[in-house]
Amino acid sequence: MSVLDSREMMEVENIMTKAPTTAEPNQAVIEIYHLFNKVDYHHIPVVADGKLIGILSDRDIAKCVTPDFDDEALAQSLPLQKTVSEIMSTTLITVDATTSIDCASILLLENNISCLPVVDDHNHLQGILTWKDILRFFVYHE
Amino acid sequence: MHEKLLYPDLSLEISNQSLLACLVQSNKSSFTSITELETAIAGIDLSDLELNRQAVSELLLHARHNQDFSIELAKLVDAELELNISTDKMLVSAIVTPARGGEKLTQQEVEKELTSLNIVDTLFDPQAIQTLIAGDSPVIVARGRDVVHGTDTEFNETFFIDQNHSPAVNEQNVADYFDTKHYVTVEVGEILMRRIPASAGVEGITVIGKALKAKKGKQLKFKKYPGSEVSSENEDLLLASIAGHPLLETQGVKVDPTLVLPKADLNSGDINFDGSVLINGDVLSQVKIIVTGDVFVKGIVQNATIEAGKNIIIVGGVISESVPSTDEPPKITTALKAGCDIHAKFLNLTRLTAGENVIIQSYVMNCEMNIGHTLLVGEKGGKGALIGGHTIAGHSITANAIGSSAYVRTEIECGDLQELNNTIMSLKALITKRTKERDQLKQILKKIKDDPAPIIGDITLNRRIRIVKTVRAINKQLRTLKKEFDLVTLSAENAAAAFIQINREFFPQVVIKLNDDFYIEKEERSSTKFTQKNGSLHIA
Repeated sequence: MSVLDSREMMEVENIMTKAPTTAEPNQAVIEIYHLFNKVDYHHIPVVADGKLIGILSDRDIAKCVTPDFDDEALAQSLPLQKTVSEIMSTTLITVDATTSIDCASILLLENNISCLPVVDDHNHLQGILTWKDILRFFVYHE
Repeated sequence: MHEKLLYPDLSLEISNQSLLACLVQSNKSSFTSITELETAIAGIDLSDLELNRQAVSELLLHARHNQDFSIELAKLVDAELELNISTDKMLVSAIVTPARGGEKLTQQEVEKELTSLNIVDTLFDPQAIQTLIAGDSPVIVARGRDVVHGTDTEFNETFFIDQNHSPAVNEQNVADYFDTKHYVTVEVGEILMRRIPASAGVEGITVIGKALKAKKGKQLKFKKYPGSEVSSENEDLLLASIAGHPLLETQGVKVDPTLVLPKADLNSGDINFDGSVLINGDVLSQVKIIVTGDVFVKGIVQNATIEAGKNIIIVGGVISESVPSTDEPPKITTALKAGCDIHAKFLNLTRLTAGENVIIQSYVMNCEMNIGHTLLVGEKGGKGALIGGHTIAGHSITANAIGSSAYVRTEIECGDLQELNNTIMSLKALITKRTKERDQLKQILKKIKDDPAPIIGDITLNRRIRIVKTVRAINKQLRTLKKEFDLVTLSAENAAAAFIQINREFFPQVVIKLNDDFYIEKEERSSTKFTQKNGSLHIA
């Protein structure tokens, strides 16, 4: 079976990142800002009572601050004193664990987004799928 | 122009869709408050008039100062009609904004508006228009006529016995459970199937008069299968070309020459046959029979395995290996598996799976059974006992006696509604999700319709093809899911009506599970029926 054949059969569950780091809606943006400085991912799902309510990217935070701020100015910066729920994106395109990788890839590309949260029937977060996961699959999967 | 003297110093005038108030100078104003003025104006027959309160205040102010003054008190607004034609051009909906002091809507106006939109007058709904005029909206005021597409060719087999055939019952009210199905054979030239030609359908029409052509039903021919041929005199009849056992296929019938063996044992070896098998004697000693049609055994089955795509009919009984002389419990070494029904005289130590029904004449002892629909144990004058083992049936279990006077633990289960309902919910959710994804992809296809194909370096990518392929893959998945959904729904309907009926004796140590309800019998009973009413176990 070629990669092209197999991808029609493969499901998001096979390649998604399970149990990703999440943020809470009332968490301070500055906490997530520091987190993004330490990790190699750029999106964090926002979850309340186990349910996905939004997504926050490092770009969303970058829009709030200027890069020239020193630490003290940063801490005092008004935008970073906001909470996650104030700047997160709430217009979400999601998939479920059984969505085909093909379908997820098209949704990602054609909607010009970088990641897809994976949710169950009750909108509980199950994982996250990024363009990197998909690229890895097509490059390395045999 | 219309003028009315409201007070000696105040007259109202209707002109150019306006209600004007003209105040003439007087020593003392005839009215003293806004409420008084508004009440007086309300007495004029101008429906739902909306007064400009500021203008009324100004009028009062000038009246108090005994000045000449005129002002517009309100705009007279006629009723407004908004007509919308649905995107499929099959409906015209109407919304009416009621008149505020102006002209009300009339049937003639509505019909005129419809005509101006080129709506076919024979499709107007006069009753709906009356409802609209009375003030109710939105209302569908004209409807297109739906197209009725033709039906495809149908194929009706003629040789199958009525599946709902019930066993004959004698004057003692005892059913002959062997009278439920017959072994079907056909002779050369016998009619196997009738073809009903496709129909043309009925044309529809949109509200703007566009004809909707009916799709003609697909005209299909009989498919050719071994053992059958189309009649040379009537091309709508399929006849048997050989004598044998008919098996229903897509758009046709296959007639199997039945394999006939004196017995199945070490001499015959295992039997693997695409058709039906008739064993005139016993099936013995680890023989394995696998067929796509029916298996008929005139003797007994012992320590063997039989798998049939359709039915297994055993005139004798079914037993496992001989009971060992040691204290070890006897092992089940005989297995029966049928896509449809299993009939036998008795079952002892047998593992059995049947897609539909199991009908046993005499007794079932220490068996493990999983039955899609119904288990019937008992016949005229027979014991009809179900003793020991574990039995699961999708719809019902009927026996003359369940358990034994030795109080052997006997486990029976009927229906699994909770599990089936959970599966239905999961399938529904999955169908919704896949449909949503497919629709998202279709939207994308629509959006990129005229976009040029993207290029990477010197490679041109045709993303439309990939998206169309993915939509097709989802459609295929949806078809499978819907089939599964229909099957599970049918099983759930059976489970909802599940029952266990004991005609004569019912013993302690019988464990019953009817959907979610458990029951362990503690005393001997006579005729008993277990059903579920309003979600709880009902014993009658």
